[in-house]
Amino acid sequence: MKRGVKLLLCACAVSSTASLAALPAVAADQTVTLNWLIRSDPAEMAWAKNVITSFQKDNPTIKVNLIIIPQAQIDQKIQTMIAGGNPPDVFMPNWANGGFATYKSDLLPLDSYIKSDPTVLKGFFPKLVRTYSSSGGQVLGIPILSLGSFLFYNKDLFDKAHIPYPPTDWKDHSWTWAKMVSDAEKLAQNKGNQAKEVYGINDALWPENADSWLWGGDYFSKSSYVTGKMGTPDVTNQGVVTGVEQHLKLIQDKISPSPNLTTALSALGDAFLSGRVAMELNGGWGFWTFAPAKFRWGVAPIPWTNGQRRDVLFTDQVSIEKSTKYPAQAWKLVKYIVNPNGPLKALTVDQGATPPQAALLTQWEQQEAKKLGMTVAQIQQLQNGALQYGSESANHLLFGYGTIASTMDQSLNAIYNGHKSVKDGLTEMKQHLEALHLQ
Amino acid sequence: MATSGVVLSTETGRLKPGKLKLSVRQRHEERAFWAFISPWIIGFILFTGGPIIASLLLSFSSYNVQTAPQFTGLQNYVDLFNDPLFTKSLSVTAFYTLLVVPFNIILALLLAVLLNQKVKGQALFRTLFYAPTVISGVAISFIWEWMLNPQFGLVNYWLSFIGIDNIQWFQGDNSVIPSFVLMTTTSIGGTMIIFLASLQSLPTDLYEAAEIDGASRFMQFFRITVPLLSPVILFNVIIGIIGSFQVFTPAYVVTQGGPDYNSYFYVYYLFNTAFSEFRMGYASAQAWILLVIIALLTYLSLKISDRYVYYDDAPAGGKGN
Repeated sequence: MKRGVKLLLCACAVSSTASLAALPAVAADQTVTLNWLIRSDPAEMAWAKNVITSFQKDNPTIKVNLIIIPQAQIDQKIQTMIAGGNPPDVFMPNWANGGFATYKSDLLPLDSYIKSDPTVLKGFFPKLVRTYSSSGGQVLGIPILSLGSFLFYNKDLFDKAHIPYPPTDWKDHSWTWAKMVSDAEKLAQNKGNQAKEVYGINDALWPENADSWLWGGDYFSKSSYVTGKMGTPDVTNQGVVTGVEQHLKLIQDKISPSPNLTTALSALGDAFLSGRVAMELNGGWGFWTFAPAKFRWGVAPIPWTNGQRRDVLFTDQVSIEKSTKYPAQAWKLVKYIVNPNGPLKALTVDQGATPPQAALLTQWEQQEAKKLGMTVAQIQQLQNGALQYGSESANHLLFGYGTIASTMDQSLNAIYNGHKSVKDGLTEMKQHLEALHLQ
Repeated sequence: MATSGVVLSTETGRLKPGKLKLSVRQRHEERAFWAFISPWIIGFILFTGGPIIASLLLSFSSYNVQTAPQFTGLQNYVDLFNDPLFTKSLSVTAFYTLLVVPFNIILALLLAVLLNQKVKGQALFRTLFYAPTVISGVAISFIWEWMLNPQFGLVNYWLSFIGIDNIQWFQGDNSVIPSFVLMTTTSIGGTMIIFLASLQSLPTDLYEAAEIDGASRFMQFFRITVPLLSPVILFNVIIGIIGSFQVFTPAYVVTQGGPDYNSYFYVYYLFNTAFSEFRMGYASAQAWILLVIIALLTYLSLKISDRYVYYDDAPAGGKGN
């Protein structure tokens, strides 16, 4: 019996631990199949299926095979597809955690197609189109949406506390961090009673370096965003330290939930949606994710800090993989997707996301103004300011940002949960970031 | 089935090397044997044996999936031993193992003893206690994440009635590993079934003799049941050690290794290395280190067990072999 047990155990131990150009011409009438990879978001899946149905109707010789993958697994899928010589023909690099920087060298320059089809970019904001270009300035993707970062606030709680709403003008210098904190103090209720506590403000700015941008600093150098390489992170510059200190102070003053509490509150959706957060600094996805809220809410710019405030922009794009066998057909699909009168409108205006194209933006502003009980001019002010003060997010422009983010989160959460001092936490973060081997 | 290459000496009755002469029927049977076993052999070579060897070779290389592996010698292993996350993830996993293995063994054994009692509804109880085992680990993780939510969780709500407030469970540095251990209560069905099957095969004469001698139920459990079950306990301990060193799902689903790396399990780290950073060579080295650690622990457990495990097939006056 003993020998049998030993053999069985050895077998279990072993088996369970170690198993670990030139393109051919395609005849016009020949049917080709394109692989289009998207993330498994229910709304986006429904949108993509509709796009394919109508696209195939107009292009009967192009069959589109939709590959749907959970966002967290897209990097693995694309990397293995590329390694296996069968990459997706069309995909949205920022719908993978790796983002644009990870796939920059795998994308097909679109300049020749745009040159022969110049109307395709009509009305698109040049700043957003330029965001995703090669070091030589070639366009590597067409924007499909672009979100700023804002302050979302609960109008019901503001009314209850008789506090005027924040402004919508980004140039309004009365809207400062100090004013925001002062309002948050007045809005916070039942301090210390976790079951009933209402928090004045939740700083959910993302990605991890967004607080440093708010205070005019950064962990990463300017060249990092051009090369895509993280380089040596700077955890000592004033913007970084102040960003972390001010964020921490909100928690220590009990006007903001700690990361642990935010996680707990978020179990039922975003913390802001719980109705127990009066103001939340967050990305522009709030425009549609807060839509189901059972209270009235509004939007304001992020507050002024030290005069060097920077907003985070999140621009998604659609791209073609450079080794596709059918670049012309893939371009047809891309052109179809970014058509403002068709799929692009369905993806942005119809779902609440901010469009990267002027005519659609006008429609979106009117729609959001109506939805939020604000004027169109106010929504315009908000969006224009985000574009003016915004720079593209690090999670799109730095290679391997998913790994960078999880490394930074461990240290930042330790600081915000009160387990480490700002200095120790940032020093440890730097060590862990430098230990990463991002290839 | 006869084995070629070996003959049975008629003089000594021992097996000797040589050519075995097989009858037509035996040859036919041999061919059938290879034909029937070949799917498994091919599957093993392609999907288990091959990858095992490949991972060993890759562990001496730098490989990012997209470009060909480059030989780097022992560099991955050198880097690993200088990697603070390697030691952190290993210590977190070892701590989890230290807690979860005894917790599961004791709980599963007690539950098996209870379910072995001849009571009304015995089959229903057995089904109820085993049922959670068939649910996916991801679903179980989500259920526990909700139950142990510090703000809205049922457990904290119940505890508040007896004056216990604000346990952070998965979000506390010190409570995260015990929370994961608690989570395993819904997955002990497999261990429990093994104990239950063993309990049913224990000889009743020993218990009858003990009862005549006046031994209490308590004494019978510790003096008869536990010693007789000791080989099964050893089996479950070692399977538990192997399983707990490979824990992954709860960290992936619930904590992502946090807070502050306090649930950064070894296999979760390995997964991140392989599928977030795409450092397949380094991840392969991690996998082989894990294999060595588990093999060592298995060997140690078997060595130590010689003193504590009773084998009923032992020759009179000696220990089992």
